[in-house]
Amino acid sequence: MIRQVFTASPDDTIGDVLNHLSRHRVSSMPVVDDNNIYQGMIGLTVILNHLLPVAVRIDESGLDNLEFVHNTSDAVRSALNKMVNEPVSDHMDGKQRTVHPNTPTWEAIRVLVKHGRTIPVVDKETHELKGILSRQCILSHLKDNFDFHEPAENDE
Amino acid sequence: MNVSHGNASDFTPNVIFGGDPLIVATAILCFAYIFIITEKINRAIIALLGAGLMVLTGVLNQEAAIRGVDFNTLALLAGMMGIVAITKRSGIFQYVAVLSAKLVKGNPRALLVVLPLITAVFSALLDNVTTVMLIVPITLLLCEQLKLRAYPYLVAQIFASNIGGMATLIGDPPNILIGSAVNLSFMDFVYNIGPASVILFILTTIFFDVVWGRKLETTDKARSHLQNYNEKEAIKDVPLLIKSLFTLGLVLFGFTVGHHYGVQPGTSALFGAAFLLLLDNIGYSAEDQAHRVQDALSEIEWETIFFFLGLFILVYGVEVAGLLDILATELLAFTEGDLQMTGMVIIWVSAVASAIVDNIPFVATMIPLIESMAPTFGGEAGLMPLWWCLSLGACLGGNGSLIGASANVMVASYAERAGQRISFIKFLKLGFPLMLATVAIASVYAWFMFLT
Repeated sequence: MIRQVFTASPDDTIGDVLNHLSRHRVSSMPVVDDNNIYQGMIGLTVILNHLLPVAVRIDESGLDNLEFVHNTSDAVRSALNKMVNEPVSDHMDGKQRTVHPNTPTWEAIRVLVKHGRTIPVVDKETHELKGILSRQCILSHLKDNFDFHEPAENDE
Repeated sequence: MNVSHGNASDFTPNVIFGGDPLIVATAILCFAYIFIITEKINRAIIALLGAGLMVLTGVLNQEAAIRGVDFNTLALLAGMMGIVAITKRSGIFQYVAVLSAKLVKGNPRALLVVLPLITAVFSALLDNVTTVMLIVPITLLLCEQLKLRAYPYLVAQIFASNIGGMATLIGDPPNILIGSAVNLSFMDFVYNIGPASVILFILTTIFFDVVWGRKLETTDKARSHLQNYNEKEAIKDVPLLIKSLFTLGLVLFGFTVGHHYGVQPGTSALFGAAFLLLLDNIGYSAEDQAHRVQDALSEIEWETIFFFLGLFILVYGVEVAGLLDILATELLAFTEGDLQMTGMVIIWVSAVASAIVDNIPFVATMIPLIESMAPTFGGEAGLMPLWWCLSLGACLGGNGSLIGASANVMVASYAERAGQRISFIKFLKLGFPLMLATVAIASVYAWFMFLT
């Protein structure tokens, strides 16, 4: 788990978040209130999705191909212009799956594989943000506990 | 000829605690209708619970309940849904919409004709709900690009889907139900209802042009942008497109010709779905095939299929208990057994009822009710005018409100998610009077075509 994480406030603008993501080369960050209580995640997937036409975004049965639409730079620019001053609270993903500090390794790997690249770690009772879990965290954990060059002992 | 329903007289209800089957069955049906109308609980749950109660209370037993299920309708719905689930992956629907938009050079007024026209044609050949699910996203894209309000287009498409669907056996659920119960062919509907469908489509299109079309404006820049679309790139899978169109052609051939050889539409549709699955899976490993077939079948709207299943049993329960005979006798007493009067009552009551409640349960109830009028009108052949009146009324009535037909609900939910909400009242103010006008025209049509 990474404990030192950059967070956004629900009142920050999408422009602030984009600057932050670009400067620190990360793809998403947790959103917390003034008391460090977890509110949701804001990241490039959500923001980029909003640059697409509404016909794609409506749901899984929306358009699944835009190959035939050409010269779309203007449309992307105008969607971005509209979005940069909007608050994070309008766009954050409050349903992102979370884990807690005592989540077993297997479940943590399962959540990462199934639910995204960065998973917030949240206190089960208080919902306070404790950090984030990334694939690299799991890799470090594996590296600390296993020797990748030596075949593991057979359990049987 | 009733092909699927068992004879109501071959089962005698044996209700628990010696209750009166008529009262018990009517109570179950009324409660089910109330819950279906209020939409607080999903309609499939209600229909299945009601069907279960019909059996558990002894109005029906399990064998009788199964006799009440019209499996031809279920097979037709599931088969067509399966075929469309595979076909839509080819991108054909986007291709047609983009090509049409380019042909009219993105003219907003002309688009208000061509997009509903595409909707009407697809609705006649496919299920309405599926059609609007395919056409609404591309409509939203075109409107966004042309900086147009989507509202006029979506409302016109609702009308087009219900009016277009009316033209064929498979286009609209009421027709599927009527056609299956009375053993009508695909072409029976095309010949009898098709002309009304064409007339009403033209008239509503003129109406929408007057109300909205003339005032719609866009910029030349947006229009030239649309001309840069390459519709050929909307086709994602050419081999799949060929397989799908071949299968659809085969199924439509089955619908038109099969009737003469005793092949029911359900058989054609389900066989077509299986055939397309075969074409789509040749060359894949057993494991891949399992995934692909599972994906295609999961796109069938099982909620709708199970709703129909429950509904058939519910209606069969009240039929066996004798309620529908009583209602038919009352209706005939009111119309004094006059065919013209009965036809007009059916068309108008169906239209208004279908605007208020889902037209599927209404038509499912009306079918056995009309069947029991056969002796009054000189046998089953004498009932034909009434079937056309039921079809016209129930299909057109679907336009009367935003909940009148499943396709309307689907368009409204898409519009809401796209931030272009269609308000219930706003739609009602326009849709209900317009629906009444179309029913008035349909009544004149029915009067001269079937009743005199």
